[in-house]
Formats: sequence, C-alpha cells, structure tokens
Amino acid sequence: MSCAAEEVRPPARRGIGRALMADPLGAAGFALVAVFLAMALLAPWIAPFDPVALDVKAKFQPPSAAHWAGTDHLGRDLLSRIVWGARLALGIATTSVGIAGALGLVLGLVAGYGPRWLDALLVLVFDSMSSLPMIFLALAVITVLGPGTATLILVIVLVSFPAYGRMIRTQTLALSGADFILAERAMGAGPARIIFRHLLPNVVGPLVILICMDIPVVIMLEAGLGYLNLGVRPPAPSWGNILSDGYTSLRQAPHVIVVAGIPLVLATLGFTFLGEGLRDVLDPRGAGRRRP
Amino acid sequence: MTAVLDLARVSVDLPAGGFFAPVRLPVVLDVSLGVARGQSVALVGESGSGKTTLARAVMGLQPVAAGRIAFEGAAVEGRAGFARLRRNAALMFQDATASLSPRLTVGDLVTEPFRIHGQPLPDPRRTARELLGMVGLPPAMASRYPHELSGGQARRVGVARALALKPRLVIADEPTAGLDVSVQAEVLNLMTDLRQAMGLAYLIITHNLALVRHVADRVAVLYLGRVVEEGPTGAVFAAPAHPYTASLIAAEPLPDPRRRRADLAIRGEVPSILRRPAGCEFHTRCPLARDICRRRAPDLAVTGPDRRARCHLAVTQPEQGERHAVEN
Amino acid sequence: MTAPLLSVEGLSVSYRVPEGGDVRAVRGVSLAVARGEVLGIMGESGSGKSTLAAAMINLLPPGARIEGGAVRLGGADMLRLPAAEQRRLRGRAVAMVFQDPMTAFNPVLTIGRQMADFAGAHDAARAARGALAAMLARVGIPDAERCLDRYPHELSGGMRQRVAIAAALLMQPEVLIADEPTTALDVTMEAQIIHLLRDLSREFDGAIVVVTHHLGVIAELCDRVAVMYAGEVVEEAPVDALFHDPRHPYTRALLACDPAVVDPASGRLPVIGGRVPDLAALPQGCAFAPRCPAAFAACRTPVPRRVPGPERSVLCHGVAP
Repeated sequence: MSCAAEEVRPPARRGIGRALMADPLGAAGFALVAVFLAMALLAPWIAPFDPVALDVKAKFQPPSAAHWAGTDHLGRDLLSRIVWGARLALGIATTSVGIAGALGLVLGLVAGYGPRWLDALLVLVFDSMSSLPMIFLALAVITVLGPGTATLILVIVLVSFPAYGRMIRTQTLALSGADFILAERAMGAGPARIIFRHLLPNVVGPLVILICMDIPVVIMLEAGLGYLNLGVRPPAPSWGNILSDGYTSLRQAPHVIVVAGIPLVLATLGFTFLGEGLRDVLDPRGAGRRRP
Repeated sequence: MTAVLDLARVSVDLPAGGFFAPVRLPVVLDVSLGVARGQSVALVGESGSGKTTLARAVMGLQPVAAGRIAFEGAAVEGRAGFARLRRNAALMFQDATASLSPRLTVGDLVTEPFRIHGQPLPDPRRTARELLGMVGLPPAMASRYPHELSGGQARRVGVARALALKPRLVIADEPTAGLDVSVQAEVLNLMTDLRQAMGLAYLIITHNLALVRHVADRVAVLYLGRVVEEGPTGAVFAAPAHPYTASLIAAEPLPDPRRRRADLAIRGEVPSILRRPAGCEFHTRCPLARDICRRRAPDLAVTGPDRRARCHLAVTQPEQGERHAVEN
Repeated sequence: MTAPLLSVEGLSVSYRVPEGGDVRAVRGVSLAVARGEVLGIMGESGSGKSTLAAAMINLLPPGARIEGGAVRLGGADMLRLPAAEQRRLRGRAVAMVFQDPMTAFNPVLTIGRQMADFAGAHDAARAARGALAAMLARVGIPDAERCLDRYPHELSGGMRQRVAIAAALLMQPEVLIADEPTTALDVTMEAQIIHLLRDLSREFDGAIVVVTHHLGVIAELCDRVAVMYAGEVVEEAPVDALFHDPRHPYTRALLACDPAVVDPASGRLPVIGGRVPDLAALPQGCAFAPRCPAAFAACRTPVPRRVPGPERSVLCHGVAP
C-alpha cells in the first residue's frame, strides 16, 4: 500500500550484529558457531591430551574426571579428539566452501554481466556439474586421487560452486539492467569497475547466507566420507573417523558414538541458525526498489 | 557557434519478438536536434514517445541504428568517442534514488566520476564537501547511503554527481518526477543557477509542460519516436503549429479553477509502436484530420522563423498556428 | 449543506517506528463530504493524506494505530464496526481507486471475471456480463464487451485506471475515494481521467474524495479542498476561494511555487525554506511556524482553528477570526 511507503520514513539501518542478536535463534547460532570456532583455533591449548597418543591399557573408559568424554578403542582421549576434530572439520568446511564461494562469485558475476556467449558457456558448465550425482562424483574423485584432506576439499568445491555461480548469475542479471548500473555506464565506468565495485557488494549478501547454510552440509559430508573411510586418513581425529571408530565398538562402549555425534549435531544446528538469522537480517532490505 | 550536441537523423531500434522471429522495433525515428552551448532544450512526449530511449542512445547505453551523434563538432563513434562524451556530458536519471549505487556512501558516489576517468582527486572528502555544498546539501550527508535520502536529496546528489567533472552538457530525464511542488521549485532553481554559473547546456526530457515553459529555450515534441514540432519555447507555446502540441498544451491541468477545461483536448491513446498508423501517425487522434492525413505521411517542414512541424495543415495554411491556439 | 455522507471526526493515526517513538501521521483531522460533492485532499509527501484516505475505509497498513476519532459512514463508525460489517460497507458504501491500478488487479484473471467477483456474482451470467460491459462503456472504454475477456497487463495505464473506476462504481457506492488517480498517467490520459471523474460526479449520486499532490488536478476537479500539512488540515475552503484567496501561509507558499503559475520569464521560482517537520518530534505550536515567513511569538503556542468565512477554516494564529 502506498501510504506506508510514503509516510513512514525508512527505518535507519541497524547494525547487522545487533539485529542478529535480537533474534533468539540467530543469537544461539552465533554463540554455537563462536564456541566451535574457538575450539578450532585454540585446540592445542584446550585439548587436555594428545589426540593421537595411544594408551591401550586405558581403552573404552567411560567419561571420568581424567577423561571427560572417555576414551576410545585405542585409549585415545575423546574430548581431545573432538576438539582437534573441530579444527579439522571447520578447517575443511570453511576452506572448501570459501574456495567454492569465491569461484562461484567470480564466475556468476562474469556470466551475468559478461557477453552472451560466455554466459551460455558458464551456464553449461554449472548445469553439467550439478547434474552429476554428488556421491558418485565424490567416489570417482577419491578413487582417482586417493582419500585425503586435499581430495576432500576438491570434491566439496566441485560439488558446491555451480549452485553459488548460478545464484550469483541470476542476481547479477537482474541488477545489470538497474538504473544505477546504467548510470555508472553513462559516466564511463568499465566492466571491471561495474562488476567489482557496484555489482559485487549487492550480490554478496545472499551468497554469505547460502555459504553459512552449506557449512553444516559440508561437515556432514566430511563426517560421512570419514565414516566410510574415504575422508581424512586415520588416525587424524576427524569427527567422521571418531564416528566410524565408535560404530565398530558400539557394543563395548556406546559412549564413543554419542560423544562424537553431539558436536556434529550442535555444529550443524549452529551454522543453520546463523544462516537463517543472517537471512532474516539481510533480506528485508532486498531488491525492492521504489518506482516512480 | 558550434552545437554542444548535434543529432543528425538518429534512429534507435529495440529488439522485440520471439526467439524464432526476432524483429527490431523502431522506437526513435529520424530525429535531428541541436543543443547549443549554454542552451536548454526540452524534449517533450508522452510515455512511449521514445524520449528516454533517445537520451540513453546519446550516452551510448543503447546502440544507434542510423544517424550520427556529434559532440562539440566531432562525431561520437566507437569506444573513444563515447568515452570523450561521457567525460564531458552527464545523464541524470528519472528515478534519482535508483540511479545511485546502493552500497556506496554519498561521498563516494559524488566523487565516483573522478575515479572512473582517472582525474586527480587529492582530497576526496573536500571534493565531496564542495560538490554537496554546490547543490545545497550539508557536508554530513557524505556519510549517508542512498536509501537514507529523501527524493529531493537523492535528486541533489544526482545533480552533484553529474556536475563533478564540470560537464558542458547535462541530459536530465524527468528532473522533477516524483518530487513535491515545493521541492520541484528548489531543484529547478538549482538547475537554473548552475546553468548560469557554469555555462551548462541542458537537454531536458519531460512530459511536464510547466517545466518546459520554465526552463527551456527550445522545445522539440516527440510522437511515436518522431519529432512532430520544434521551435523556440515561447513561440511554440503561444501558437503551436502541430495539433498534437496544441492538444498537449490544452490537456495540462492548470492550477486555477476559473480556467477549467470545458471539453476534452485529446481523445484516445497513443497507438502502440507495433501498429503505427498509416499516413500521418497522429491522424487517429487528431481533431483536424483530413483525407490527405490518412494517406500520406507529412515531412518535417519549416513553418516559421526557426520553427518546424510535421503536419500537412501547418504548411498549407500559414496562419494555422493561430487557429490551433484558439482552440485551447 | 445537507447531512454529510462521510465524515471524519477528530481522527488521529500514528505509526510505531522501530527506533522507538511514534510518527503521528494524522492529527485531529475533521472533514465531511456531502452528496454530489468532490472533495480534494491536497498535500505533499509526508502530509498524511494517504494515511487519511486509507483510514476512511479503515484499510490502514500494518503498524498504523488509530489514536482517536471516528469515521462516520451513514451513521455507523467505520472504525468500530465488526470486521464483517466493515467488509460489507467497503464496496457498497465506500470504494477506493488507487494510484497504480495494476496492483489492484489479479494478473491471472480476466477483467470480466474480476469485475464479476467484485460484484459478488460469481457466475458471470449473460445479464451480469451485459451490466459489466455497460459499466465499462460508461467509463469510456471502447469495445467494452471485448475488454471483459482481456487480462490486466493487456491494457494501458489509462485503460486500467478506467477499469478500476468502473469496478469501484459497480456496487454503486455512496463515496468514491481516489488516491492519486492520475499520478501514474501521461498528460493526455490525466486530462481524460479528470474529465471522467468530473462527469461521474455530476451523474452519480454520491461523493468523490480525491487525494493528490497535484494542484492542477485539484483546480480542475474539486469543489472543496482540504490542505494538509504535517498530519493536520491547515486550510479548508471552496476551490475558488482556495486558489484565489488562500489564507494559510503554507497554502500561499505552495500556490506560489508551482511552476505552472509562475511567469516563465522570471528566472527563479519562489521556494518554501526549511523542511517538513519530523512527525515523531513535533513542535508545541504551529507545525509550519519554523518555515513560515509570517511567524510571530504566538505561533509557538497551540494553534486555534479560525473561521474567516462561510465554509472556510484555517489553522493559523495569524488569520483574523
């Protein structure tokens, strides 16, 4: 209705941080993510034991004062393994999603603002990449290159960049006919300037949200591949490896799998809440531009 | 005196039709127009007349299908030609708020032309302050974002940005659209002052006749992409030679209840450019249409000192202008 | 004057804004419109005119709160009726035409289908179809029968506005409220819609309220005008008196700065200095005083409503009672 737009002044933009904190789920998400980030960054100082130090005599110990989360079948301290696992999981997730996001951003911008033929070519790439079933692609790449951290990152990048690229392209296309882009062209601005100074800041918000929502997917993928022994090579303390170990010893020591599952669930929830909170905060401004 | 901007028989097409049968629709046809140094020329027309498309074509945002654009005597061609034009001419958009890049501050926006053209910008804050001062905005405005501005403020920022590199020509698309009466007056005064101070030439694109009467030295009336009448503003308003011009003037609501229009000046709607009428394209709505108007398209012919019109009747009857004027 | 069809009594509306505080968009407005009359509500953006129009049919946007007052329509207070009763009145007793008629139509239904829905006759029967076509023809749509089978996007802006007016008139409302009915249109279309509304006001046995910022539309169309500033009606007068003998300094300033009235030869237009006040922090006295050339000490105290002539009222200290 016109009267609302006309007479209520647009609310001054509040800080994104403050708006996020006002939303209980967003704040919870932010807190969880902060805890995991702290765990990852401070792992060497937080972890009470060496995560790969064996102590076979102390295997399958339930949680105790010495081992807060108990020990696994080789007597390794589970809490330490989980703390170091956070470093591994977040490291892999942020690196791979970061690379995929940057790749998708640049390709999407180029596709959306560049010449028609380049757009057609890039859309073909995005579509053919995303038409490959994810798990088969992952298995194929791992089979060829062998399991390991670098392979894992490569798989995740290959799987996720087409979605980012396509979203950025759609947004860029919608914006490239906007008056402010025409105005920049009329002032003589070249394509590089328009893409990086004017289009990029306007399309990056939704990408951040999407990436945030994708991080838990990647953590799950990492855990899943780890569980299948196709992820990070043991004995590295990845959450997937811990889960896998826990599964084999489910009968003797059920606490292992429980202890490994909890951080996975919390991290997933944390990033999802944060992503949804960010979406609520960033989206209302949207592209709703007034027309005369 | 050479013209700042000279358009010679410019035509602009827009792509239309489906994927399998692409066609190009002529939106601007055969427009010739000159803007002299320090002169203010208005391009008048209703929506669909092609006036905005023409403005965009001049700035190179829309390819020109035929004709020639010259800026200060030199033809505007290719990348270098448009780069020179864009350095020395500025386009102001109808929707001022939408024409400002939303994630940049006002200070960055008004100094953007310096960066684009690699002009020295030793003290961006001072330059921004000076430009904002020139259009009557407080320096504190420099840290605002476009969506925090009112319509009038956004318009002023647009003017400041247009003037940043001291252009010789400003093309203003509906410079007062969407503004309140009192703000409209402020923006018009600003444009008048700047014109005098900087020797600017204006090409003003509008459907607002009150605005034309107030700021334009010359006026060109567009109908379906063709110039139907052109001449000095005073003479055209006093005695329009083309019936369409006369109808436009008669249709304008006047802020005086004692001068209400008793009858309708013009009936019907602008025909679609997909179905241009044969003969004179205005004959479907023209109160004076004759047989010849339906059969043969009139040429743009001289009807008086420095005046041209595209009407059979305006040429055959020299006193035609008076006749139309009486009908208002 | 006969009993008014619609009257607004001491209406105040405010919006809650996120930063805290209330934007007082409409403050103590009283207005009445009689049968056969065209009332103009004139104001610049932020004057509260659109909020007032929306309040007249109690279709305020979310966030708006009615602080007080009443909107009387045939004896009942629109603002206090049960929702079902209000819906019944909307359309039957009072109808509205918006600035952009495109948004008032459902894009996937034909014009005829939608008009039939408005009329409540869900099966567009033959007879009803005839009635619809007659109404379209009445508002000047050529080939009305065929227009019924068209979709909104197939019509031009002017045609859509005609259809919107026809749809609003279908239920023969007593009051038609038109919010900026010509703002989105070209000059020649604007003239045609003005003519249409003027003709309708003569034939149709009700009242028309036109909300606009365009002085020309007011002068061409209205019988009586209420000028709004910062949420208040600062001057109310018959149209001729308003344009030829304005009393409130704001009305005077507004009329003076319209480029349509100023001599083209004079280089500069007069302006109103200063800005519209912040509706969340209004001054104690006259809201126009900070911009008023004739302000004096008393203007900082609450303003009296003066009645300088028949059918006139002015909200100003400076006007002789």
